[in-house]
Amino acid sequence: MQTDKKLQKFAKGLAELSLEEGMVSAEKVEAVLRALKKRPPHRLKTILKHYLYYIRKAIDRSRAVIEYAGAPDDSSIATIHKSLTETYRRTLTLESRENPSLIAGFRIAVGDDLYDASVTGRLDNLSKSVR
Amino acid sequence: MSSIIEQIEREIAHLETATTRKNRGTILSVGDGVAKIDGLSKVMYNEMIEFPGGLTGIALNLEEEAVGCVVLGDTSKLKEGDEVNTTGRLLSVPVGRELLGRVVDALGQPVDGKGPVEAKEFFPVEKIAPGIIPRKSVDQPLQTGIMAIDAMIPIGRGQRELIIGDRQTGKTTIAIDTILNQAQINNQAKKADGAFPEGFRPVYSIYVAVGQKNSNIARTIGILEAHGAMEYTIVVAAPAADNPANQYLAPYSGCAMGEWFMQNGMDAVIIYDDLSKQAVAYRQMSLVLKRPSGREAYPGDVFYLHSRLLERAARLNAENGNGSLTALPIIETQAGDVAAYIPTNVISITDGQIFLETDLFNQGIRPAISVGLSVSRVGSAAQIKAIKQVAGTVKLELAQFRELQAFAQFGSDLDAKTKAQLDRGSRIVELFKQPAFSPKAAEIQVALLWAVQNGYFDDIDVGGVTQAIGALEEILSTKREGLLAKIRSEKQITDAIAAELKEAVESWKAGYAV
Repeated sequence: MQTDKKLQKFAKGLAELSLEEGMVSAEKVEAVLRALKKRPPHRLKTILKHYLYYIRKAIDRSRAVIEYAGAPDDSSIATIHKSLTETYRRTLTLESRENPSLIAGFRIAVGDDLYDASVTGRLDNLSKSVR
Repeated sequence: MSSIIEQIEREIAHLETATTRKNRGTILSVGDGVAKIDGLSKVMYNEMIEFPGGLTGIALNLEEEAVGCVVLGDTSKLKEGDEVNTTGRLLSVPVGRELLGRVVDALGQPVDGKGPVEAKEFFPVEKIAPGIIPRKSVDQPLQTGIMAIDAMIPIGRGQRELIIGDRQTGKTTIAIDTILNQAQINNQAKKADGAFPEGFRPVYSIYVAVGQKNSNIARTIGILEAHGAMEYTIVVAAPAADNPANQYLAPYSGCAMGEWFMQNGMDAVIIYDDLSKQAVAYRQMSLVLKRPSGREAYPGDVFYLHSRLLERAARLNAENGNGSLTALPIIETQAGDVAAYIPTNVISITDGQIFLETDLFNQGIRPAISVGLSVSRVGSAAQIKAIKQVAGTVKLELAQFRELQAFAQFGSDLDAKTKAQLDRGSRIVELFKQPAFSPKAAEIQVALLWAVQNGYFDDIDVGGVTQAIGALEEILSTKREGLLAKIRSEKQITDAIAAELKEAVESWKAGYAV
């Protein structure tokens, strides 16, 4: 258990080394992987698994996914982007995709956070409150 | 139909139209009622988590990579990868008078088939206990209706008195008797219009059944209903078939319900039946959550589990409404071992204990209270003056009796004084024998104790004392109601009452065939 925690901490350190201005840098990840390959530490597979977990988390944290039903205009997207950047105080890359199941409105996911302004979300809340 | 439409309209009116913000996570694993969740980076300790299918969970282990969460319900439909959300709310249960007469589960949901509980308020199940300033020392009695307890181990409103003993020694019976007695007192004082007279403080009861068989809970509810006590009682049931999380939570939920009465200036008594099973459920949860285990495999915070619960029982001062919450936790010992981990913990937390012995129970001394090991640390502050007058020395006399009885076994020649002490002691033992579910009113207790203390039973054969007590009790309650009413209202034995008692007992004695 203790060893696993140490490996976890080591992997977390590697993940921190792979960031550039809070964003995951492909070059740095490559450099980390190269270094690990050159001098493989004990239990490399476990370390890589933890490393992957932290890198995934870091990517999720720096990415905002907007789902919409009815595409929002560019100015709305720009406003959302600005507002999110101010809220999270870090640069976020924006990805948008259509999701007709939302009926209308949109939903934004940043890491674990979910902002729901869709009709589906509101109907869902209504159904929960009358349950 | 129109009411349904109105309800939906009401909900729409209250519905948040703004964007909702949630913190998400995904289930990594589910097992034994515990889910490991990835994500939920902003979850609070003890926050309610929303699972698919309307299930609720509580976040208990906040780790860097995962959140350990106990699921309150059937986990069979949950699977890896399912999305869960935070709610921003701590676990709360409905509270208020609307719960009286109802049987609810650990989440306050009705399980008695009598429809939804129309509660207007909700209280969080975990709450910080009242501090020092709002408290007041215990000075009002809580009559259990059990003579041995009211006379020797008095319980006050706001006290925490542990009921401890092996299985089948009558622990639950004491608790139920206490509830029945509160209902009896409330009904006696209740006016025709259903209101209570000015100055009368009814006591409401909360019975928390943890890890018990459903049949036992049903039997208890049946007894409460048969004696008309359900009207003043809330039953919180987390039976043995329930998941450990519910068994762990039920005492806290019941406590939140009791706190509502206390904070609204009323008196309530809560029975935790029993805390050993709650500790076992908590141990199970903790082991599944991979928390480090300690003595008897209980987690390190098992003391805090009970101390934070029992600290919530209190007597509040006048500035804070004068309400009280009395706690009667029950602990089951194994082979009379009071030195085990959980019993010693709870003994040290509570303000005294009623220790029940298997040997006494088997000898027919019921309630099987061990006088030597039982104590109430609040003491006579919680006794009415009349009981103090007649029972002040009973505990000492009974302790001396037990000691002399042990010595008397070795010799046949006893001096007159010792013989008198033994005779009186054996009659007091008989006096304290009381059948289950028949609590005695305080005034009856005073009259009977007065009669025994004044030697009116000395010439009655020990074997016939129980019958004689029954006969005297019947005479007093049917033909001497005025005298009992005087004791009840004056709460002490004045010279006039003593004279009247003497006359009543002597006239009964004259007609009673020894």
